Formats: sequence, C-alpha cells, structure tokens
Amino acid sequence: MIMFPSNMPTFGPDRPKPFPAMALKSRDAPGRMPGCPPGAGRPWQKEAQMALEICWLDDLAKGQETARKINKPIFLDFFKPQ
Amino acid sequence: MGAVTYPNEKVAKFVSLNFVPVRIETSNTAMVQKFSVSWTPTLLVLDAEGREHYRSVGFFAPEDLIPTLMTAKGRWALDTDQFAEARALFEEVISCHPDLETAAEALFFLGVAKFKVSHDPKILREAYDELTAKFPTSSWTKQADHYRLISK
Repeated sequence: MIMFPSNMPTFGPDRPKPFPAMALKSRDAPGRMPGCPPGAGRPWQKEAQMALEICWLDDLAKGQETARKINKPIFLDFFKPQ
Repeated sequence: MGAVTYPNEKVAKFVSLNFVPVRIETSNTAMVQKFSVSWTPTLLVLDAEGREHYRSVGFFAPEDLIPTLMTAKGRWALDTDQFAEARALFEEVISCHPDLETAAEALFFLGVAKFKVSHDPKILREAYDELTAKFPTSSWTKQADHYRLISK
C-alpha cells in the first residue's frame, strides 16, 4: 500500500499520480490485476466466473483422474432419468 | 435434485468449486452394484482412489445441500489427513448453519479433527459437552456419549 502525507489532496488536479508501474497496461482488462497474465482474474472473482451449471462427468474413472490432479473429492450422484 | 437443487446458482458454484462432480444413471448396473445403491437420489463423496467417505440418501433443498456437502468434504479432508481443511470446513458449518442437523455432525468431527492434531482427550470431552448443550437429541450426541467419561 502506498502512503501519502495526510495534507496531500486526494482529488483535484494536484492529487498524486500513480506510479508508472501501477498504471494499467493496455492488455490489462478491467478487473484483472495489473501485470497478471491474460485469463488470470482476481482471486475473489474466480467464483463469479464459474459456470452457472454443474459440468457433470459421466465416467467415474475420469473423475478420479481429475480428483487426483486437483486434490478435490468426487461428488457422485446416482440418479434415475425422468 | 436435478429439477430444483442442482440448477440453483449457489449450489452449482459450490459443487463446481469444491468437488469433481460425477453423475451416474441407475441403469448402470455395474456401478449401482459396486456402490450398493438401492434408492435415488444417492449422493456419495469419494476420494481419488474411489473410496467412500460420505453417503446420503434422499432429497436435499439447495439451502440444505451446501452445508451437508461442506460437512461431507470435511469428512473427506479428515480421512485424508488434511486436518486444517477439515477443521475450517466443520467450523464454517457450525457457525453459518447452527440449526441444521449437519452442524451436530460437524461438531462431532471437529472434535475428532482437533484430537488428531493435539492428541489431547479433553478436546473430545469438550466436543461432547458442546454437543449435549446445542444438540441434546442428535444421534451425534449419543455417538459421543462415551466421551463424558473423560475428565475435564
């Protein structure tokens, strides 16, 4: 966090300008941390980017392979199609 | 579940973030027999080796499924020696959903998760006391009954 003297104006023409390194680069879309690679959002935005539907796998072996890679449990639902 | 609970936005986000979701039709008799499924919906939580850590039979409304799955994930974390994650999940269920039955289960296993790290039996006694105070009629309180023999 950058600290400014308390008597420094925080708005208007005399307000301090951000350091060049802090300025958004052209490739930085709004919502992406400056300097982050494309596709990397802020951590708390990850949830908002999740699909609104559950992407079910229909093969337990594939699920196990994925679970092994990402260290997550498998949620297995047995269902009867309507 | 497919008509009401899974389409719920919060459920979809929670399941997608915390699990690898797999759905099997009951016509798959090999899988039905392998997991001894006799009724639907049957929900299981497995580890990557296919070992079962949690099972539930019956319908869940969206607001009940999330804390139940949080407890289920805590059970998986506990069984796979990820005690800090297990503890965090159980504590969240207890604090955010204190009136649900699954909070009693979370309280029971929070005691277990703490004991696994500290090896202090007094923690189990504390879990029993808290269960007795908050969930006097829960089956989890009965299952913790022998902890009352541990001196405070």
